Formats: sequence, structure tokens, C-alpha cells
Amino acid sequence: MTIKPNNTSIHCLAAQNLSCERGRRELFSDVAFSLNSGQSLIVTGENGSGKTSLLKILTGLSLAAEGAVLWDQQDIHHQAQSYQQQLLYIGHRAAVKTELTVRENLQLLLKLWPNELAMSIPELAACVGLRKRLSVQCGRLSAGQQRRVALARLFVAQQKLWILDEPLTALDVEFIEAIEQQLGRHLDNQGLLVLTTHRGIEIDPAKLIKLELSR
Amino acid sequence: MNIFLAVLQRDLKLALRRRREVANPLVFFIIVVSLFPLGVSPDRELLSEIAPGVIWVTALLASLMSMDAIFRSDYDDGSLEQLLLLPGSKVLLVLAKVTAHWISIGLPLIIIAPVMALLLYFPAHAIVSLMVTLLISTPILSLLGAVGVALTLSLRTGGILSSLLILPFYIPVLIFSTMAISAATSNLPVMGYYALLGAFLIMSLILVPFAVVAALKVSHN
Repeated sequence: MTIKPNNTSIHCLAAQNLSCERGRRELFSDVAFSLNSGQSLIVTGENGSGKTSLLKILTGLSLAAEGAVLWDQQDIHHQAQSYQQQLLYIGHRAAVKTELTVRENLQLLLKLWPNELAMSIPELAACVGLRKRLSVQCGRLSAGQQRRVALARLFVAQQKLWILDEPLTALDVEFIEAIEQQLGRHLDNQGLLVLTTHRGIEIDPAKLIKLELSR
Repeated sequence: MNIFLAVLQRDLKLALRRRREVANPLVFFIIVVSLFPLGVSPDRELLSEIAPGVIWVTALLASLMSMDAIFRSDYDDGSLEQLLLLPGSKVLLVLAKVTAHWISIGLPLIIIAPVMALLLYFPAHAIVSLMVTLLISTPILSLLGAVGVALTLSLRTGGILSSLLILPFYIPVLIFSTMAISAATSNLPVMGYYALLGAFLIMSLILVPFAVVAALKVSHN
């Protein structure tokens, strides 16, 4: 359980001819890629092309109709425990409890998830620009602010693989820049990044792999 | 164990914030039981005759109607998929959620039950057996209910379907609980019934969390 992740180790996420079906409809087939430490994969495609489904398959939450996802050359379902230690997934639903205050939500994030940086709640809130809103119930925050609470995890994460589904939705320009910086830092630290987005995101093109899903 | 305590604490805190939702089954229980003397007959003999059944059926329905809350809001806001991705035991996670649900729904029912029992001229010497059966059986109801809810999470009409799925499994619990109470009422030995209910509880504590984890995974697929 307490395997200390080696910060310098090189990881690899690979997909082998993944296909996904919803009902009887095939969303995509023969998706393959290989992603190494320090690289990011941007998944694009029109609405309904299966971006979210692909990301869920990569996290191991859903199963692919065919194909396999490999983490360090091993099927993720054969090493679920160690894969989940390395995985940070933020879906398009924010997973922020609206009944709890910002402080309580952040406390939960810090408590449930392994994190490296010893950051206090106010510091973390300051990172996401919610320092003055600590005792506000999240249900009273705007969509963008709720999103910020969810994205606070990016500032303390020690996981190597980040899978983000539309992380920039509803965010203002300033905070998008902060997130882009954080993503850049993650890549510099030999992290892996998979994300979907409709808008452009500034990431070093040398580290970028693009994957377009088309029907 | 950490994950158990963290999730338990989280869910109890959420239950405190959603007092209305938590109070619903309790209010239902109180209203239905108190309507019986008005609707059936205020006759002492008759009421004390049907009291165990009335209280048990109502408690069972109250617990059934509250089951959906155990996973629904976490499923809707994406928290459940996050919890499923936590490194660590998913079985402990499920046990924590069921325990929190039982504490916020089952426990208040047990506490209020003796008061409602008096309302129905429940024989005073059998009230202990009413409490004991509720204490052993409501966790079984919560555990079994969690399977049904987990299986039907991704369906829009999950509520009805999961009730239909769970109800057959609730029936043995209902039968043995009411049998224990009638035995206690007529001063017959009750330990046998308690032992059987206890066996049900242990079996479901051991087996059900695994079923719930599997069902949650199916619902997210």
C-alpha cells in the first residue's frame, strides 16, 4: 500500500486498438496511442464522438468493447491498485459536494487522496483563488468557482497520470493561465497528461500528441 | 481502515446538512403508524394484535423509500466515480456508505419505535424484542437495499425497479422479525429467531459489500 512513488521513474500509458460501443452504436474503433512521461495527449472530436467514453476507459471505470489499456506494459485491470495510486481523474462532473463549504470540500480532497505537498487549506484555497470564500457553501458558488474547487487537486497531486475531461469549462482567463502553468509543471516533472478540450490550450507542441476521434 | 472512517465521516456530515431528506422516512414512519388507530379501530385488543406487523412493515417501507439516497447524489455529481477510483479497498468504502446510511436512517427508526409501539398498545413486555429485531434487521435492510440501488443507478426509473428487486430479499427478514416478536408476546423462547436474524446479518455483512462493488462497477460501465 505504501509504495513511495519514484519521482524520476518513466511511465508509459498505451492503448491498443480500443473500441467502444454504446447500445448498438459504435462510438470509435481502433484507437491506439502510446504516451510517455512528459508527454500530453489531447483528445479532440465533435460532441458525441466518444471523448468522455475514451477517458473513462483509460481510467478503468468503463470497459472497452475491444482492445486494452496498458500502464507500463501491463493491462490496467490486472494492476488496478497500483494504477489507481498513479491516477488522477477529473471528470466533467465536478464531484464537489454542494452541501459542504469550500473548506470542507478541500479537506475531503486532502484527506481522501494521497498528496505530496503539505499544504494547508487556506493556502490551497489561495491557489484556486477562493481564499475569501472558505466558509461559503459550494452550492452558492458559481459554476466556475465550483470547477476551481474540483481543480484544486491539481495543486497538491502527486499522481503521475492526469486524465482531465474538459478541465477548462466555465473558467475565467486568469485561472485558465494558472491551470496551464500547473499542467506545464506536471509535464516538466515527467508527468503524463490526457485531456479533452474544445478550446485551444497552451502546451509545448513538442510534448503534444493529438488524437482526433471521428465517426 | 482510513478510507472507512473518512467516508463514514463525510457521509454523516452530508446527512446532517440534508436534514430534510433524512427526516422524510422518519416522518413517514410516524404518520403511518399513528394513522392506524384512526383508520382501523381504536380497539385495544385488535391494535395490540396487529402492532408488530404494522410497525415492522412501516419500518421496512421507510427504509426502502430512503435507500435511493445512499448512492444517488454521489452518482449524479460525479463523486461516486471519484470514490471508486480511490486506491484502497472498495469493500470498506461500500461498508462505510452503508453504515452512514444506517446511522442516519435506521438508528432514528429504532429509537422512535418504542414510542410508536405504545401508541398501538404494544404489549410492554415484548418491546425489548421489537428493539432487538429492529437493531439486528435494519442493517440487513440497508445492506440489501444498497445492492438494488447500485444495480439500478444508471437507469432513470431506478427507484421502482430497485424496490422490486430488493423486496423479495426483505421478506424473510420481515417474517422472522415478526415471528420473534409474536413469540415474545406469548412468552415463548425467542433466541432461535434472534440467532437466525443474526446469521442473516453476518452473511450479508460478509457477502453484500462485494456484490455492491460489482454492481457499482456495472453501473459506471
